Amino acid sequence: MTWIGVHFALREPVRFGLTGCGLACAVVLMVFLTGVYEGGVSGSLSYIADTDADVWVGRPGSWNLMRSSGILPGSVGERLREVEGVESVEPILAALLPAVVGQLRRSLLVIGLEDTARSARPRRVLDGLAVPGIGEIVIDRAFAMRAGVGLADTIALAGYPLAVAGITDDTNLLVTQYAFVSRLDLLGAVGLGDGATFFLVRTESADGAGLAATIEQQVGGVAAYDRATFLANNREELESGFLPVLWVIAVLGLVVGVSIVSIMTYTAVLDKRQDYVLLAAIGAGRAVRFSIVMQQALLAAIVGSLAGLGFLAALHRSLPVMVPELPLRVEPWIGATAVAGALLMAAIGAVFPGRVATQLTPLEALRR
Amino acid sequence: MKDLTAVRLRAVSKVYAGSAPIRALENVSLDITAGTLSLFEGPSGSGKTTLLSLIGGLDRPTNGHVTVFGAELGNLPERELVKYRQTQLGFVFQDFKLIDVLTALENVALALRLRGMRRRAALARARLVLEVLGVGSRCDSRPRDLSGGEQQRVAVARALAPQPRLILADEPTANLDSMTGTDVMEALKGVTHHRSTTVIVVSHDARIAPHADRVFRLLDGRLVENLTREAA
Ligand SMILES: Nc1ncnc2c1ncn2[C@@H]1O[C@H](COP(=O)(O)OP(=O)(O)OP(=O)(O)O)[C@@H](O)[C@H]1O
Ligand SMILES: [Mg+2]
Repeated sequence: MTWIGVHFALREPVRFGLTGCGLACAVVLMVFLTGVYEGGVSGSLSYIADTDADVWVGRPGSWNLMRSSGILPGSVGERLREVEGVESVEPILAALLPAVVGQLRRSLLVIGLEDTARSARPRRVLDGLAVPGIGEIVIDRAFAMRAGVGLADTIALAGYPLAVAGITDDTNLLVTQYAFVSRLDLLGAVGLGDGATFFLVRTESADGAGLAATIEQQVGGVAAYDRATFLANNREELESGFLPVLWVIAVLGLVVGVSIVSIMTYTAVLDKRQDYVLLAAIGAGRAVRFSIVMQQALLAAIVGSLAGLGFLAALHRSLPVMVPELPLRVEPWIGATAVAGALLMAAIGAVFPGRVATQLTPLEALRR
Repeated sequence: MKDLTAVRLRAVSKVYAGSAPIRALENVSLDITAGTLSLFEGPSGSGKTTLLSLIGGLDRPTNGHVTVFGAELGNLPERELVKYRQTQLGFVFQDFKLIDVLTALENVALALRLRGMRRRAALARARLVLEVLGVGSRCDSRPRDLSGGEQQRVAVARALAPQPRLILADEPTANLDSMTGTDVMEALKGVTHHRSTTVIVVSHDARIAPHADRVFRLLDGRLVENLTREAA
């Protein structure tokens, strides 16, 4: 095994750098989007996953939290408490409402909590309270940064001034953020006497699915989901919106990456045509010449993807300051997949130039 | 000198197909003894390079048989031809054909690495051969920083380092002045003595004839003269 391909690559730093840059861009594009998606999913689902509820009960058709407008009468709570196996019942009210801070207007996914909320309160509190009192609001960190507000500052929610009482983390849904207010305040803001989007039910037994079935049977006019099903519902809602876009961009990124490698490696082969011809003449078989081309592409992939990940690491630090709403989350598996993806792009991109190198005839060495 | 035939051509013809087919070689038969330096001369277009390409296994004859060290090249599959070039041949070209991104040392070591020699051993051997050829001090230079004569000596080192049994040189002195040309020819002549390597040189250069054990003359693809050194 000769590593002459590595020499070819490293001693042509401009071409090699450009190839690496192209791959780095493809990697950054794909990892960035995946990372933002992962961050968005995490921010969207963490709140739901962290709640201490075995069964979510809502109006029939209200199968997820993020896009549900159905309201159940408050009296449903009493009927739920009578179902055997129910330990506690806690109503929440969800509404998408405009928040105004100075010139800034944003829609927030506002969750109205009981002042005694236990099951439904947010768990990741950076500062202040988890459960707001009357006239108070608990907001997401990204929104707080964007709006430039902290504890005790005032936010106008649907026209009602509320004081910031707490700041939460992992509550950024990318397109909007969670906020928490008192359910009574929220009922007033949306013009209702009583009502709940969901009731969070806890059970003494461990059988959430069984209880959900019992509730649907005994209470009637409601839909009940055990914890895992409800989480899956919300994930499905997110994925149906994001994943197709993500896939299209990933495929485009792949095509761009492959094209860049292919073009750059092809010009490298043409440029070094005489060298490949010589190699063929002095006994480098097709496989050796192919591997020399492949080495150059794979090296560019390794260097390019690492550079791309380095750039993303830097971005990861500065992004929360520059664009707080973008919840970039790069898990190790995403980085590893990106490196593997870059290697794949390079390998595919090098096939055609590699074949060109193998098909050059050594006879050319004697025919200048 | 062992009387062993290194290269044997029997009724070899080469026709380049095309709208007007070109008969580059016609019915050439000859024997080249192992351990000798043979010179092929002839005017431009007389078929010298074509002959070299057939002996080097870079191309196949249209008719006839080319046998090198007992192996009939026409019967060898491509894979075996690659192996043949790798293990038995050394090439020297008019325009040197050094790889510009490699140093002189690496260029020579490359030929050894292709034969599977380990890197360290290949570099050590390459250095030795460069020293023998008088360019040991230019090991770390890139070809573009070397004079033509130095480049050709590096190219000769690349051909010699793997100790091939047969060296094929196409116009090795054409781009060199007469002093350096003589140096290169002496280096090639040297290996026929020291290692019984067979050397075939194609050239217009009249200064080469004195180095040759045998001179072949081609005209329009035909062998017209076949002189031993004494007769030349
Ligand atoms: N690939 C090819 N296709 C067609 N014709 C060719 C090809 N290679 C060589 N020829 C022709 O074959 C003839 C012999 O060519 P060759 O290169 O062997 O001559 P030569 O003796 O080496 O000449 P020179 O001294 O100019 O190098 C020439 O007429 C040349 O044009
Ligand atoms: Mg010629």
